[in-house]
Amino acid sequence: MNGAGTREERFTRLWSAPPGLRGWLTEVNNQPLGKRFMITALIFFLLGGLQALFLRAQLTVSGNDLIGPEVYNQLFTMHGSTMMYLFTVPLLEGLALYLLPLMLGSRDVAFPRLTAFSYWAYLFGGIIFYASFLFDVVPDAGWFAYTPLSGPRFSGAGVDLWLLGLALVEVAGITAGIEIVVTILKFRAPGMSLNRMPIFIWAMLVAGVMIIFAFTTLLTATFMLELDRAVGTAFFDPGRGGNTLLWQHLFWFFGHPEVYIMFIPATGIISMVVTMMARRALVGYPLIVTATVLIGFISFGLWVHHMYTTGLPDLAMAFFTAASLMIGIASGIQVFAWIATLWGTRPRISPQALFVFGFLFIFVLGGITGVMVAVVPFDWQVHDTFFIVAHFHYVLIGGVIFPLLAGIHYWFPKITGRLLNEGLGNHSFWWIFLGFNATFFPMHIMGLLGMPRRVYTYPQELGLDGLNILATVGAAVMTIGFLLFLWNCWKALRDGALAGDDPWHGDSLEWSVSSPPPVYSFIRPPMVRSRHPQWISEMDDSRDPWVERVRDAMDCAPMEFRATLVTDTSHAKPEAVQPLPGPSHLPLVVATGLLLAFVGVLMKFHLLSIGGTVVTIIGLVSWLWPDRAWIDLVRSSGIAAATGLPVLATGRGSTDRWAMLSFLAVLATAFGALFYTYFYLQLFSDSWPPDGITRPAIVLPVIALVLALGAAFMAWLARRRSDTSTDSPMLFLAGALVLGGGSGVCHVLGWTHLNFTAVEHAYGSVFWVISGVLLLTLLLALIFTVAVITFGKGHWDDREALALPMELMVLLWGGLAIATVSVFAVLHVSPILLGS
Amino acid sequence: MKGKRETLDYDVAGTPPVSRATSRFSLLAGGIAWFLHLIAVYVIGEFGCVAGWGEWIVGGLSMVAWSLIAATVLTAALAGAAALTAVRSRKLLGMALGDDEAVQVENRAFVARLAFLANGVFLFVILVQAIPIFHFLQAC
Repeated sequence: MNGAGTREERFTRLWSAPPGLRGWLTEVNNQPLGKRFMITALIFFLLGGLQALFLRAQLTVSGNDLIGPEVYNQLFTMHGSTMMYLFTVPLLEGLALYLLPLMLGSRDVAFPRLTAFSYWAYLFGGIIFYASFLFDVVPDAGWFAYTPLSGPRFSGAGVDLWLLGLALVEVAGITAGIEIVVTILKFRAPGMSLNRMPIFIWAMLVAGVMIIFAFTTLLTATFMLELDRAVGTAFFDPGRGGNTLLWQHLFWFFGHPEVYIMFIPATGIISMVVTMMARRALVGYPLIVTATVLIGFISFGLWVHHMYTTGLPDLAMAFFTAASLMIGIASGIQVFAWIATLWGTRPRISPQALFVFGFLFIFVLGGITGVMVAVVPFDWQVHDTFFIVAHFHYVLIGGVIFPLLAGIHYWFPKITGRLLNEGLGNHSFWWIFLGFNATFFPMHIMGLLGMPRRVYTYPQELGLDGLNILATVGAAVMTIGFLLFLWNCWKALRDGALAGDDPWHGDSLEWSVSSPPPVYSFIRPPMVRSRHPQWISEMDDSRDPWVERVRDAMDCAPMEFRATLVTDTSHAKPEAVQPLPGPSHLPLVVATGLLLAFVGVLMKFHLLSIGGTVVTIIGLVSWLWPDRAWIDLVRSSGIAAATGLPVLATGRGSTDRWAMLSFLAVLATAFGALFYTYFYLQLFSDSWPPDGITRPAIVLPVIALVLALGAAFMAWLARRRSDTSTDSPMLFLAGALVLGGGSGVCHVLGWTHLNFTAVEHAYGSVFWVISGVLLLTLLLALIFTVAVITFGKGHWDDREALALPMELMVLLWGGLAIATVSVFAVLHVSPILLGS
Repeated sequence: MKGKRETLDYDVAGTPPVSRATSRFSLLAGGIAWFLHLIAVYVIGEFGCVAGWGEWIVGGLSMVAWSLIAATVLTAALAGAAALTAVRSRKLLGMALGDDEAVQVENRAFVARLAFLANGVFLFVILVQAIPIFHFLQAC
């Protein structure tokens, strides 16, 4: 036993950060970072809740002047932004980052340094948001920031803070999304095939994919709006060929899926808790998975139902009404599956069970009003009234916060090792539940009677004072409930009863380790043979000698560096051993560089922006640069021989490949949003390019295109040479550099012949931004190629070490080739085909 | 070291009854078809109407309606093909499951079931989304 203890202690030291502030700043492990995400999100929740109380107090009686219209606008902007961007999604991401390795049977998430970067970017973004209070420039254009209200003409520096803070939070969200997706696809325990994944994992997988596409669209849109404000481009300025409705399209293409990005993980939590409550397998597992995937897909097709009053063609609105109604099918499948699971059982009434019942009651009501507002004529009647406020709070609080509270009660013992007090938990539920309904149910009636939203007061003649007083009292009651919940958490942390490893007799893997879990999660990779590994006692059954050999070799190993097992995407067959980085200051450096760059933009202090950008680039290059000493350490460890698996995996076994594919998906989405912008602006333009602007000559773009394709082909040849022989692929790599560089020169030369800038007309804005993003992508591919050359120089015979950088480089060049062809087709071919 | 016993838990001996490509097609094609349909109806509905296609009548129907019908038929066919592929995969994998409970087979059977359900709903959604076309046969 002593020997085992020593072994575990050494392993714990390997997986722990150094003590003190240095360790705190360089931490990359998923457990402490997941907790930081959750605690930071809860602090923002308190701030957002406080703002809501002020808003509610202002509306208690008609004609009230407690905070006045300006502060009201600022507070409702900050309340919505805080809850949507700084609280819900980060809390869910934090919970997922904490739980994923425990539920999947791995030791960490796929990219530990990315987790740390994501946290710092999120924290810095939130600080930028809230810095607006210090400088008295609080944003006031709503959490949706519709143009032209958020444009340079009608709003001040607050919107800049909002946009740049949001950009950092979006970057954090996208990186966390990639982290979640790749971890789920590649870090599942042996045997955990797709059909055996816990529903929460399915939900996070779908939400992670959605985050990548939805957040990138918003990031592109915020980038465009900030360019309008800071540089003077004309994307959203109708006077110069822009279009204000374009913002709404781009925003809601993010905004509607955003609701489901929050809701889908919440349904995953409900499925986990319902299974525990019923003490039997979830009814209709395949149906629930199907419904989750369907919601993920269809939610991207509903954005127009936020825009029924903007004058869209009736035909377009009719399609989106149909799609909006269809999502009710998928949600209905889930609700009926939960009810069927609980049917005939006698669940013990615990706080988490109460929050599940509360969720079912409130969410169904919110869902029904959602179907109502999906119908165009009804939406026209209640749009911009308190009916909508009631609807989305029923969906967001009932459909997301209640499940989150159920989840916190469920996993709190695992995370802290302490049990929450059930009596206090039950009390907090009833205060929150009754307070919530007293606050928001009357708002349906207020809305139907004509009380407008987003306005600081209402006429006394509407006769709504009584309902508003009731709503304010309800808000106070709900606040008491949340305070009770926080008090319960605080009390449990101080002197709560010890939870033990598995207080609920849960079915998933996290309940097989101690509470709180060891920092490495699993000392020996678990084996999964069913959907409920904790309920089926064959978890450690040794049926397969090959898998047993892999698991034995990974038992408390390797000791030289952090590592976990990589498995097949679909049926979780062991594929490789993935070395993972230890504590690093680089995530903080890169996030700080971004912060400085953004602050420089805000203060119009360009030197600071340039400095921040340089710090970011240096940090990123240091982060991504292949380290030969590290590779040698990994190869010499003996873990590859012991497991029979590669430690420098390529192809499907490499997480880095998935990271590159995710990055390309982000890039494709950004280009997609920009192409949509191009055609949308063209549609509403009298002539395209507009009068006075000459269509760009096509010769140089054609040459740039051919050279870019040639460079991509050279990169492919270099990889082929590297894979098949020990000869140097230097000739092909140099060819890629020369051709790629030539393509870049042609782009720049083409720009010098343009007779328009990015500011005089929206055509110029979109043209310059699309071609600028393309050039940046080309630069990235060139830098990557230089890195491969530097890394490989003198070691061209080391095919194993070169394989991964080569593969990633070819993927990047392939993405660039597709982007170049697409940009060429949009900017230069489409004007010829479509005419003006 | 490779013997039948060693790979029993994961891989079926010989060629799996349903290939990875077929499995992926049946899983993803319905969703892609729905997405393409949505993009098509949005682009045709919004851009086609603004561009005046609604006034271009051919065979009693506007070009907007014709384009929408074509988009619906093509995408519904794709979703339907994916659903049928999923049905066939389920059948093949169901037979294989009887002989060998390899994780790979069990997993692909699950994917086939998932694909069948999802493609069925996607096909239904595509058809429901096409209903408005019949109210706008000659205009926008």
